[in-house]
Amino acid sequence: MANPANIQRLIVSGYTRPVRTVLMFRIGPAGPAREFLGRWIAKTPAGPGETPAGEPVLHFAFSWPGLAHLLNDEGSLDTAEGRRQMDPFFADPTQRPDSPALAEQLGFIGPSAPAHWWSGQFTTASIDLVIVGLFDSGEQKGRCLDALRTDAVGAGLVELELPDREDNALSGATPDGGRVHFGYRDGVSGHVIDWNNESRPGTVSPREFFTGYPNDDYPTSPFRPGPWQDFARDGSYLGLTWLYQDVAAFEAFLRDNAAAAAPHANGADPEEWIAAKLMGRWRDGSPLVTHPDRMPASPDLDNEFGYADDRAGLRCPLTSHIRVTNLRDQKLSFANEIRFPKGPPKLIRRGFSYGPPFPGGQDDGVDRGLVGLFACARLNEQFYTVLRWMQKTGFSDDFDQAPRGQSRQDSVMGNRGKPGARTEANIPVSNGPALEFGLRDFVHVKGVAALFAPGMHALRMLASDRQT
Amino acid sequence: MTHGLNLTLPIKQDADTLARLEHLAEIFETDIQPAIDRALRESQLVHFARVLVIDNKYIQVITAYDGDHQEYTEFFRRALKPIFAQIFSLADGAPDTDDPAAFFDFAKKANIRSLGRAADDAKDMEGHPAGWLFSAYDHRPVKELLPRLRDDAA
Repeated sequence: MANPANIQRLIVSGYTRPVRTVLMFRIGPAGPAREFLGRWIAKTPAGPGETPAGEPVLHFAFSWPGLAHLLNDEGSLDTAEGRRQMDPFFADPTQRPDSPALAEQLGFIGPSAPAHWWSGQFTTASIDLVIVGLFDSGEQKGRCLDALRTDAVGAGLVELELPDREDNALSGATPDGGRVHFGYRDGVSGHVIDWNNESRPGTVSPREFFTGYPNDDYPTSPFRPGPWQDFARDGSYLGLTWLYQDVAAFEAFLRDNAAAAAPHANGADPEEWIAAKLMGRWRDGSPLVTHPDRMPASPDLDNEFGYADDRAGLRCPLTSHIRVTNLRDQKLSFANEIRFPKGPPKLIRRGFSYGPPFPGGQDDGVDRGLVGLFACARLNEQFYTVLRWMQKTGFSDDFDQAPRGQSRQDSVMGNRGKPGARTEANIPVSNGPALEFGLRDFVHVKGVAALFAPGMHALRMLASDRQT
Repeated sequence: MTHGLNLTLPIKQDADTLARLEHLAEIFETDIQPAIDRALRESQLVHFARVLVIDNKYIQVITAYDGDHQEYTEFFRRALKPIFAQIFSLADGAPDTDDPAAFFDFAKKANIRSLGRAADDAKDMEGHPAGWLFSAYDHRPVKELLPRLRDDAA
């Protein structure tokens, strides 16, 4: 079963380091690039645990072209075979997130279309290597980025810069007080991984997140035993997502609908009540299904709750964000029960906020949002499935309880331009017909890439260090 | 959005394969058809489905189904794995139907585009404009139609 000591720490543990950056590169000649990796992977911790302060932490992920380029002369790994064996939604260029085959179904249309991604500076296809840096301070970040970038240039790597951004990269920090730009407390939920394969209640199989251990329930790629499965062992596929948050539009939505919500809010602040109904948690992090009437006196961050006795969504609407993206015990449709014999798809989520807090009032035109990294063992069945479900809620028969429920959207994340989608938030209430609030776009996607974060053994293989 | 699947496989012409094809045809009504019926009926994703053989040289699986291609490939693989294994084994390069990547790749390559162009902007599995698929009810999904038919019958 999965070996935590072989897994990059970013995937198995969150970090408390507040300052974060994502750098993206195109790889030049493979030899110097491997040597560059060899010098910098010493800063990549493995396995669960705390990393002492004082040194930067770096984590590495690659696109398929980047991996194939670095492994082209690796005798045991035939890249043509790797193209066939790795997840097709990672290795097949026609199945990239910005491809015509996938973009529309994943909600990447209108202002979120790939034509608008990466500030117009490059395309997802250009990305070979992503380095995630985590730092104790801005000063530490500055020193590390200077050294790393100088070395990268010498190694023939071309940085894919974002000149309109801090550090010319995706830079940001863990949010102040743990609150993201829409005001919600973040980092509340997580998964307990069943490392010892004991099937303990409330735990998740490592096969949900780490490749190299396929079975019938989790037929991960590479599926076939051999060099590619060995290479991929203890790695994760990673969805990198850059997301703009339109806080002005979100706050205006809460204000505009407060009067209609007030008679149903049980004395709670109606704007906070609407915010909770959209997210599925009060903004202090307390789950709505457990605290349906009002925010508790102190935040309830218990993650052990479900929706099985709230099928109609009276406590937590079916289209609330946390319910769409993590169904817990909600019943799936027949086809999805067949797809997911071990329950709804799950993701390990890491990320940070960027941009200053919204000062309130009118839109200030400032770019602010989230950079997310979503780890899983199967890109299409997990990362892309959740993205699809946010755009159209046809995944559970429970949605039949709302008018045109199969065509609803994630109340926070849905792209309202999705053809055929019903773009109202349906909020059941106990004292009358359900409220229907016309939703608007609260987020725009500014870039997505499908990557692979190798295990430590594979990372050393990619670097100039070929010791096993 | 409704998509057409026109899975078309050249059948190997050796005696063993042709014997297995004959056997498949013999057992189709009693063993294969009910299994496909059960899975597709309960999924409420598929409008129509049929399997046909042309001159013992080609076998086709032809369906019209709702949802994006990539969304439900894994459902079809899991729900009908033994049947797809039997059908695919008649062709060269048959994938291991336990391997989702191989199954997806094989199905993608075997899907033949119909003539014309989809009137509803549908895309094929590689994102090209899909071929034409006529719908008498404007591509309304099965899940929308079935309740209305039940209401009408009541």
